[in-house]
Amino acid sequence: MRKLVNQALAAILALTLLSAATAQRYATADDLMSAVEARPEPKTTEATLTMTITTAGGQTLTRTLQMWGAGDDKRLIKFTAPADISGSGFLTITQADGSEEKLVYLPALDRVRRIAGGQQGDAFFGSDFSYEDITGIDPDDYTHALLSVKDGPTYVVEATPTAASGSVYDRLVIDVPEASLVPVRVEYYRAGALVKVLSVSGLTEVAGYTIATERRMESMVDGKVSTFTVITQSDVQLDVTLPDELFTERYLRR
Amino acid sequence: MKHLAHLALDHSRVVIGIFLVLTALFAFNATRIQTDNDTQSLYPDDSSIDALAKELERTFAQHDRLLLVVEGDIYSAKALNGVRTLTAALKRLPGVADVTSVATAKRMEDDDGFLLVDNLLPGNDPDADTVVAIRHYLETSPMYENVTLVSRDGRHASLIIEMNEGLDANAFARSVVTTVDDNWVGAYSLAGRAFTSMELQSIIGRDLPVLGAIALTAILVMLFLNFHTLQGTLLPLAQILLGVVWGMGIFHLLGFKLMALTVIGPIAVMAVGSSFVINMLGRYYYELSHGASKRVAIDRMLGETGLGVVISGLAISAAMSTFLLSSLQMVRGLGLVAMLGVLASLLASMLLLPALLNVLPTPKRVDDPENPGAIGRLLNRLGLVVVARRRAILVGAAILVLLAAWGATKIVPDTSILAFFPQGGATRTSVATVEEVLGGSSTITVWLEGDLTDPKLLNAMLDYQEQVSQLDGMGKGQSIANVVHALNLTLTGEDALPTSNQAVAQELLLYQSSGSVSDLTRFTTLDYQQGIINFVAKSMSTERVGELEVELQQLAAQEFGGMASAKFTGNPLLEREIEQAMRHDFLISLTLAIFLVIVIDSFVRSFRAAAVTILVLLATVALQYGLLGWLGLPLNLATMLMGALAIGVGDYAIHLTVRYMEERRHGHGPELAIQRSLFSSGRQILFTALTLGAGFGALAFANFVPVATLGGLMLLTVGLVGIATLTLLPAASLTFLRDPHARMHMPKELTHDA
Repeated sequence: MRKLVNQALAAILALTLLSAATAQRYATADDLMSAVEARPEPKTTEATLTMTITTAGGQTLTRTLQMWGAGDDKRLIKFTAPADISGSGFLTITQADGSEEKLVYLPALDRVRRIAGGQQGDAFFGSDFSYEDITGIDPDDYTHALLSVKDGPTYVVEATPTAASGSVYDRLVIDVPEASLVPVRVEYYRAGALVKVLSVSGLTEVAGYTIATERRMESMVDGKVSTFTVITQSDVQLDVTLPDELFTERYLRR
Repeated sequence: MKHLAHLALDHSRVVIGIFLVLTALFAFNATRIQTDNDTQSLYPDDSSIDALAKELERTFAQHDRLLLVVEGDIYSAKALNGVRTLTAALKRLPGVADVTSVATAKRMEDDDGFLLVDNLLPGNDPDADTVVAIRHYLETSPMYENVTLVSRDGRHASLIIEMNEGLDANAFARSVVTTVDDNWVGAYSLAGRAFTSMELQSIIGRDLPVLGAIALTAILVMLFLNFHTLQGTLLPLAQILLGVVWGMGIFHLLGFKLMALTVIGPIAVMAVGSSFVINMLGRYYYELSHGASKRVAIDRMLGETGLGVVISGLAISAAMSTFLLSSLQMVRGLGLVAMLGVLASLLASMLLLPALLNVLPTPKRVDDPENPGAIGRLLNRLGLVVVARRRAILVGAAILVLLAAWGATKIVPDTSILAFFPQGGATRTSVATVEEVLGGSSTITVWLEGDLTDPKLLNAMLDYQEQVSQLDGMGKGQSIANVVHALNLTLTGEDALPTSNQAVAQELLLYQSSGSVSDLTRFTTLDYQQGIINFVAKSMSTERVGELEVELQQLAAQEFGGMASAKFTGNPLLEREIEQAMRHDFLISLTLAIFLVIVIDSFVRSFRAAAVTILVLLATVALQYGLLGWLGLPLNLATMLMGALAIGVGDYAIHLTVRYMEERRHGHGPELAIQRSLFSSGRQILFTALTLGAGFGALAFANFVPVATLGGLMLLTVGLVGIATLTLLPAASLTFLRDPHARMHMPKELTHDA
């Protein structure tokens, strides 16, 4: 009798594994991340961003920004509100050698200032996003391992930064739905502890691209959310022609 | 009383059994009693300052702080590395929100267009040049001009440890002590609420058993001197322990915890409980020595003396219960434990004592407690003096009360928590070292609402900080204005604040792109509409805090005008609130205690008799507070309880009034009745005073300063009540209570007059 039960259980387990295996399109994490990377990206992006920072005490601060981007290499951000920082701008250009130049323009001082590189973990203008979080995940900087496959299917991938990446994190755990191939949730770990959680929502089709209109980054302390920042995108225009002079120090000052 | 006598005598073994079971149950609970380790329990329930402090914590993530000062040659690679290691170890401790030290200090630098915000102390071993640069930056940067991370002489470094909310402060402080012991070889000092809490718990742990043992021994000596028998010593001992055990056991069952002031409760229960038994046993032995059988002696003990004991017990419990109305948890705890213990002692005196006497064999030889020995002769002589000099006694007492009232105007309240610890003790020494290095050991925070990007307001904040730092007891202040000043100096080279709102906002935006946002949000909200200035403050009397509060408000009105509104919070202001709550409690508890004692005393005698008795007690209370003023002792948490305690404990004076009324009822004239009362009750009153004095006197050995002061003063009080009961009360009775039964509905045959 016991033997019969064991055989039945083994058969059920085999069937379950088989059905799971046949339901997922990507067998390995690398296959999946390659597919994510291969997802069509617009050549240029123009959008209005609203960044709302909420402190642990529940206070909120909303800043609006105009953003222009050309691929992953050039990005210009101009603050439009609140009034006292309106006109301040932020330009990042990735050079051919991979190094990044970050420039900040403050109209009140009428000077362009560079932000020191190598401070990937610093907060992006007081938000819960760091420069590293804003720049995004370059699959080449990580080694990947498939942790599990959830219903959907949604792949749960562990991404471990390489030593050369300069990442401030130990590891990331990324949820990628097979349908959109857009990472919808990222857990960031440092020194073994969960320090941040990114949630991506409002996936929408614009000009044939799937984009997320809302990103929420939560900073975690002892397993609880302390502060969080929500960035929403609106008036998104993709693949519009952006002049090269847009990504220059001269335009930053305008 | 008859019912009680029947119950105790007819069912003695059942009564003893029930008491044994209940005592075992309460003893089990008493052993599980915990100490309250949070200084929060010292503060009033509805503290507006505390509410503001909690709001401040939520808004600016400003936590309660434990201040650590380590000693060594700080400006050396070894010591700086040591501070870094210690900082990291402390940061890893559960409950630590943040640690600020030279290891976490930031350096702002404009390096050829780059705004660098980096750790002042590099990750590797600092070389000699780096150490010099660190020292130079700390001593010259506007960012650190008001914060002492390293003392000027380089001998001390400070580490400010911020704690998460809701921690067991005592356990947290202990974990910090262990971490410092493991990671720092030199000397160190601590200050802050958590440290005070740890020290308080240590005091409770040391005081309760030691004081209890001293009080018990002293009381036993007095009992033996009074009764000269083992039974006369051990029976009261059982009663005393029962009162304490029941009081503490029920206290725990009701969910209360021990606090430093609670130690007074068990000692009061011991003293009061023993006074019950002294009077009861005194009567029992008196009846036995006059040939009464055991049962008759017990009957009379309950019927005659028991009445006075019940009145006295209820009056004391009522006086103790007035503390339950306090807004201070510590005072409520004391009131509850004392009230429960006294009621338990009273119950035991009325039931357990007669049951035990009934079961135990009658002593073979019984001394008449009222025999004319040395004490009897003294009391006789006293009776004659009182009768002859009643007016002189009354006038003398009136003069003393007037002098006392004058002295009471000199009383200075002081509820500062540091004053709870002995001068020159380890706690004060540690805090003094921290204050010497940091300029203070606590924080006063000024919460501003206004446009913090307005350079005028920022300049006003710097001026305000400068002026406040000149005030007595205040140290330097730190605010967003210092950060903006340092930032502007770095970015523009100008040793001044920016000149426009936009420049301020944009420089802060730039800082956010390089530095930590928390460097800013600890001083301002993200929209720059609210900000705080944190001042270090030295330990000071609450009287000085009151003056300081006014000075801070006046300076704020002068500096900020219409630009910003200001609110104030901080531990010194919380301590000031304790004082205000204490004054309120003092008036309420004293008034209510007087009222309740008069009401209870009036139940069995007359209102006039109760009023005369209470007048004597009031004269004693006046002398108490007069002495407080003349001796320059502060009115604090413990000494403010003294009045109500004296009214309750001193109600043993009632026994003389009861006896006087009994003598008058038996047809003796006022003068003879007083002489007979003094002779017959005087001895028990004398020994009650000595026993109470011995019990309360034990408190003088407390490490908790207010309790020690209270102990000394209560010893004096009990002595004063004793003297007043044996002199002033008879004199007052002869003057105002010649016919005590005049308004009472007494049977005609009992209302003779001499």
